[in-house]
Amino acid sequence: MEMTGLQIFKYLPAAKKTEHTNCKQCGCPTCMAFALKLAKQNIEIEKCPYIKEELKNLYFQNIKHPQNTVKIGSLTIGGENVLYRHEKTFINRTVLAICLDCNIPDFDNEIKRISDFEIKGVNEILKIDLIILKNSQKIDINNLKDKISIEIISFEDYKNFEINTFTDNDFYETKDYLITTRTRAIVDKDEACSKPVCVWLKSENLYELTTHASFYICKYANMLVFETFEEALFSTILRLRQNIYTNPQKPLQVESDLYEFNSPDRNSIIFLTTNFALTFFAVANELEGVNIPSYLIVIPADGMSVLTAWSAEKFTANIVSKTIDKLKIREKINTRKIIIPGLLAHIIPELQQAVSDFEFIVGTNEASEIREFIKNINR
Amino acid sequence: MPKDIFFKNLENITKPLLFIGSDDEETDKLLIPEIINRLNKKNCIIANITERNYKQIIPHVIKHEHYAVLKSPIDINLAKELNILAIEMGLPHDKIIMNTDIGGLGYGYEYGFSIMEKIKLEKDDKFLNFPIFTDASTEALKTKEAKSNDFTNSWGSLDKRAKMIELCACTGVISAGANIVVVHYPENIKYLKGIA
Repeated sequence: MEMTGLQIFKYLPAAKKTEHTNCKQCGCPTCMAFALKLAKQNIEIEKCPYIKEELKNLYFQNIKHPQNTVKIGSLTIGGENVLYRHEKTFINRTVLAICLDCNIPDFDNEIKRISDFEIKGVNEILKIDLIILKNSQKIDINNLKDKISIEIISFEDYKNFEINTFTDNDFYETKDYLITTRTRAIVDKDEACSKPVCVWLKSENLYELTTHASFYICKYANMLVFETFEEALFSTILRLRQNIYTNPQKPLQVESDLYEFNSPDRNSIIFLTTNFALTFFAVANELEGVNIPSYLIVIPADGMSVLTAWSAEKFTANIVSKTIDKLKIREKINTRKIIIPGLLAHIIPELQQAVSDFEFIVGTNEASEIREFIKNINR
Repeated sequence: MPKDIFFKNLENITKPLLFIGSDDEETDKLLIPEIINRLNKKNCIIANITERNYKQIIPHVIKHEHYAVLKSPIDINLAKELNILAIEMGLPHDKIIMNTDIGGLGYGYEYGFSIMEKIKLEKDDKFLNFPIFTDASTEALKTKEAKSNDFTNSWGSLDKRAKMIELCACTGVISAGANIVVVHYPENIKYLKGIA
């Protein structure tokens, strides 16, 4: 997709050793240096007076964003530049909008219900992104905006946005439209496909809506409009969206903190692990399910798993010691034993030295072994 | 149901059969071969075979001409390695199905999702070009969101939510290219057929 320095270099004088090779008129010491800077867009292409027209055209074609970005109030959609999240990441989450008719009898209740809807995702509160109002001529939208905590626009306003709206009458048609449009935009840089796509969902069956919405979130819908609202549906697809739009380069982390399970008291057992979200969830699910009160100390390890954190020196005796101090463990809990991940049994001597008033115990290698482990230590 | 009645009744089933073992690798070393040897059928799908028990299980799969679901821990290299090991034991290429594992919806689901997309892009790799089997639904239904009522009103009713969680988890992996999907709620099948 993007032109590399080497590809650009082929069009420059030094590549063919012609006149003006490494002339330095662009301010760079060599043509190669210029090519590398240009590849990162750190220099203007015009700085080289000897650049071929061919390269100019290719270059401008190349740096064009494949998909436009559109702002709807505080929301942003579009701007996507990959077909698969593993290539880099998806950028702007699919906006989930509810279209509400102002003329319905319980309009006030419905809009409040939608606005109040909120669930806890990983590290964030998730809500509906947008409400689109039909027949809003008699409504004072500004007044409404003061009371409602999410973005509101009228249907007339919606029509003015530079978005391609596709009505979901048939799944295969919608799927085909989404995939074709995104592929042409990214691979061919086809301008005709550069507008973000909004799918207007029409099904009245909640389960059919679930499948359609889930598919379109994974496959290229920049926005979805629903004409129905149901908590079970949105609490599910918002979490799918959070997963799919997670940046693969930035693993999710949880807060370094003292977590409690099953109402522990001052003498309950203490576990310890890193703040990589998956590690935390694996351990947390086990501790919750065991029905024995416990604590979990989570150390700040830049979102790394246990072994990764250790090899990157993020899981050290020093950091454990500092975390115990910062979280005021000694004031809150009487227990002076901490169960550490089994994979790090070998650091116990240094832990003992750094934190001499606690005893460190080798725990399990896998979270799934915690259940058996806890039963055995209680004997 | 006593073992003999179970196996006798199986003979009456004409649809293709998929067997999923206990998912305890040690137990499956004994359990799965035992099941295969009592089955009076061919061309069943046998899951989940891993790097730790394939040596004990694959010979029986080959002998009775079944399909093997080879399970690896969300790692494309380990998936490929296990496929090669099974092939070296004599498992035919066209009897291989891959299970690349996945987290529950909301719990790292995206790792499993992406590895499926990556594998589907490797059509020219003869050690990766196999159908993908997934129990994304089983993993999703293990999450507390699918089992517990201990949530605020914004989460809706557990009954609806659990079914939608299964639909959502299955739909995502279908969009990523999964070929065989386990479904727990029979009423969900028609909705999944509508998108497959």
